Amino acid sequence: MVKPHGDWLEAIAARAKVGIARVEAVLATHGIVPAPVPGTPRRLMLLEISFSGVKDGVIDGGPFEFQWTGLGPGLWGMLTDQNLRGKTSILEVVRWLIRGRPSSNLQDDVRRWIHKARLRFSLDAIAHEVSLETKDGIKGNLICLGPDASVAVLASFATEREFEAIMADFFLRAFNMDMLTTWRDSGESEESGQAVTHGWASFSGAMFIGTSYEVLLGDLPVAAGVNPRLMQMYLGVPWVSTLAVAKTAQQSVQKTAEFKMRRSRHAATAREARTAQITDQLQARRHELSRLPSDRHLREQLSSLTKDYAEMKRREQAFQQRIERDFSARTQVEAAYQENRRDLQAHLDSMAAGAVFRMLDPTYCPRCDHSISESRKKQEKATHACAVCGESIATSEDAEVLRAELEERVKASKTAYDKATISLQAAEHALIEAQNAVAAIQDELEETTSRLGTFSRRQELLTAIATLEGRLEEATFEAAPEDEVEADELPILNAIVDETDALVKEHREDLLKDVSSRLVEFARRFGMHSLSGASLKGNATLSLTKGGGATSYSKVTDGEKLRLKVATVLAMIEVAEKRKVGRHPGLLMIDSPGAQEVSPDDLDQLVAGLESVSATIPHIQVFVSSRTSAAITEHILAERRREALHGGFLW
Amino acid sequence: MNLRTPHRDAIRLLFSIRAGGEPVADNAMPDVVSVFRGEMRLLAFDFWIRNPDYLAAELLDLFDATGDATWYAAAKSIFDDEEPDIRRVPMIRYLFGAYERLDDALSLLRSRDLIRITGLKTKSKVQETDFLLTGKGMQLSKLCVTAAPILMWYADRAELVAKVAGDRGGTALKDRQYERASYAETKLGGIIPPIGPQVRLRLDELEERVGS
Repeated sequence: MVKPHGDWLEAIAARAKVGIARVEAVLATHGIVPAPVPGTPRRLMLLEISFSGVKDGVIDGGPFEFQWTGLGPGLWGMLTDQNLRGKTSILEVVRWLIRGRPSSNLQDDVRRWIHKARLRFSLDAIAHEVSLETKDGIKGNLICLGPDASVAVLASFATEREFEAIMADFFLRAFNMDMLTTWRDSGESEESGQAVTHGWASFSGAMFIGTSYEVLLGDLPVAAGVNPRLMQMYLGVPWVSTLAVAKTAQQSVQKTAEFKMRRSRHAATAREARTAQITDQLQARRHELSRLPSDRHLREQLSSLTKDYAEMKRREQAFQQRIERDFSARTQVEAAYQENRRDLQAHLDSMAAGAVFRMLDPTYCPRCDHSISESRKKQEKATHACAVCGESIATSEDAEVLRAELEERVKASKTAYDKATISLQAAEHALIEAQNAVAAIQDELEETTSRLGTFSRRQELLTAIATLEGRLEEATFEAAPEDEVEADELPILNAIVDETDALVKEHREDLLKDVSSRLVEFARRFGMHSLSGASLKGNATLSLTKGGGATSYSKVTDGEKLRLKVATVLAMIEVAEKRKVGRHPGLLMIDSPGAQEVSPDDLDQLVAGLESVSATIPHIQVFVSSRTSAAITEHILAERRREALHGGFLW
Repeated sequence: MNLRTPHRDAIRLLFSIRAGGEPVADNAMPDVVSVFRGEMRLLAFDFWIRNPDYLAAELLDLFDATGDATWYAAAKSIFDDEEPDIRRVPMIRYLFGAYERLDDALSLLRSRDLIRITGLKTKSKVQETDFLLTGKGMQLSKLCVTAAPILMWYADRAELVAKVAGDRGGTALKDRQYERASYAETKLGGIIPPIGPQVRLRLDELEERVGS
């Protein structure tokens, strides 16, 4: 039935579609070790229980010593006729010594009273003894007693931690058990959870049945998630520890991946929000910028205006120069005009004056005052030679020509004067226009320059936009997903879990079937006559058929639960014995149930049943603590019981 | 081209002699109508006729002194008619005032027996030169304004100058003209400058006073 290790590896590799080397790497990474060998039963049996110390603070205070020797297979009882007389403490001391750590059920004062404790037990017929002293801390040792009374100290301890480690190591090896690791979610959404390892302290719970009946096997709460594994391990199903480690690794990787994904989703959401925020800001800034007049445009305008200004200023100067020239020209022309008019006037006057004088003939010589002779006058008329001086007398014809010429000159100079005046006026007008234009350009320059005041705001915006663009780029940058290389890890783990789970199931279903039928048998012997069927599931739940109706472990009474718990353990032990597969040590210690939860009848029936079972399974050893009753004392021989009657104490 | 003819100068002088002369009724010289006393005075008359701006200044002085608006009106009409520009005949300043030899023009008048030149003489030097207007001269002066109306201006101007001069002698008139600052500043031998612009300004300033 045992599958070769190689087949398992190949099956995983094929399922995950990777190479065997890769599978081995993942197995190594997560410490997953193949455990193909089914558990084989080993028998634990108590031989002697003893402890001593000093009681204080109670009525029967003082030194005490409890010793119970000559123990062997079969049913043993611890009985009192009143409660709180030391029954539970005996069980708890045994538990302390087996686990290496006291359970929370061991009362603090009892723990303090005990100074020495010793437990001798046999493991497959080899005797061992664990003993401790609590004076000045804890110390003690674990020894092996040879058949020839030789003593071998297996280990010594000097602290509580050492004690627990030694006992765990010893029994886990002895029973060929592996630690069980389970995954526990952390409850916090931001955390992925953690792996929890269960060891001997948990496993040993299967040997002790206390007063809590919540779970079918062991004493860990359902929430710990360990019960199905615990059951499978006690059933001796192979691959259980492998499956447990693989599942834990699977969950760990899965949770981590989920956590990472969640974190990356958070990051993506945050990134989107931030991107949106930055984009909004960016849009607002860009909008504002677009509403500001372009600086470039302003500068171009300014440059153009400055050019215009220079040009207009140049024209203004040109007009001023032209005015000076025109003015000077007009002054000259005016002078000429006046001179021409003066000349014309002079000529006209002279002509008139000449004409008047010509009406008169000279009478006397102006030089000598002698009268002009008639002969001279005649000669003048004939020759146009002056009667006084003999010079030629100018005709009025010449004067007329001169007059016309002078008038022409006046006209010409007048025209020139008018032209010069018009030109000067035009120049003056143009100058005024140029001056107005210069003033207007100056105003526009000032206005434009004042608008340049928005320049600093513009710069601010440009800087802000550049910063935001940088932030946006940064915000939209998506970091490459981490651990890309390990992407095949989860599929491989899934394959490991699936393959291993298949192996576990293959072995388990048979065993569960056997155990289920046997536990019905035992439960009926314990008085559950209406129980007709039971089905123990791989997940450690127990379905029942009782009185023809379907029910389950969690729904029945505490008395029935107690009987089912015991029946389950006995069924497992019996099946293990028969098939040589299983890990239950064959020791069962049942604490007294409180009167409220379980009726004395239930207990009576249980004890009666146990008596008959111990006869059919010779090697089991069962301890029951209980209130004394006739029914019980009837089934447990006097030498097999420790009893405190009349309100007395067991120790 | 010399547009200045002695005829015009002669006509100008003839009207000055007529306007500034005193009537004469001397049986010894039955054809003499009036006498104009002093060559200096005649030169002063001629200066005012040839420089209408100086005359206008004198008229405004008279207006200032007397408040008689006719003086102002006369000055104004001189400028209104642009006389300082058109009627000005530049003359040289010599020694004691405006001086120009008038011999050519006077000889024209003398040769036609329009005037006669006489005067008081010492052994070496003429004390005073007088100009006598003959009946013929008077007749010609009247003929002038009908035959050549353009010459009427000279007649009227000479009358105005005579009114301005009054009974002041040549030296007084010369001194009067000499007072004109710019006149006085004229360099010896230089052309007497026009003072038209200053007088025009003054005229305009006074205009309000007259108008009111």
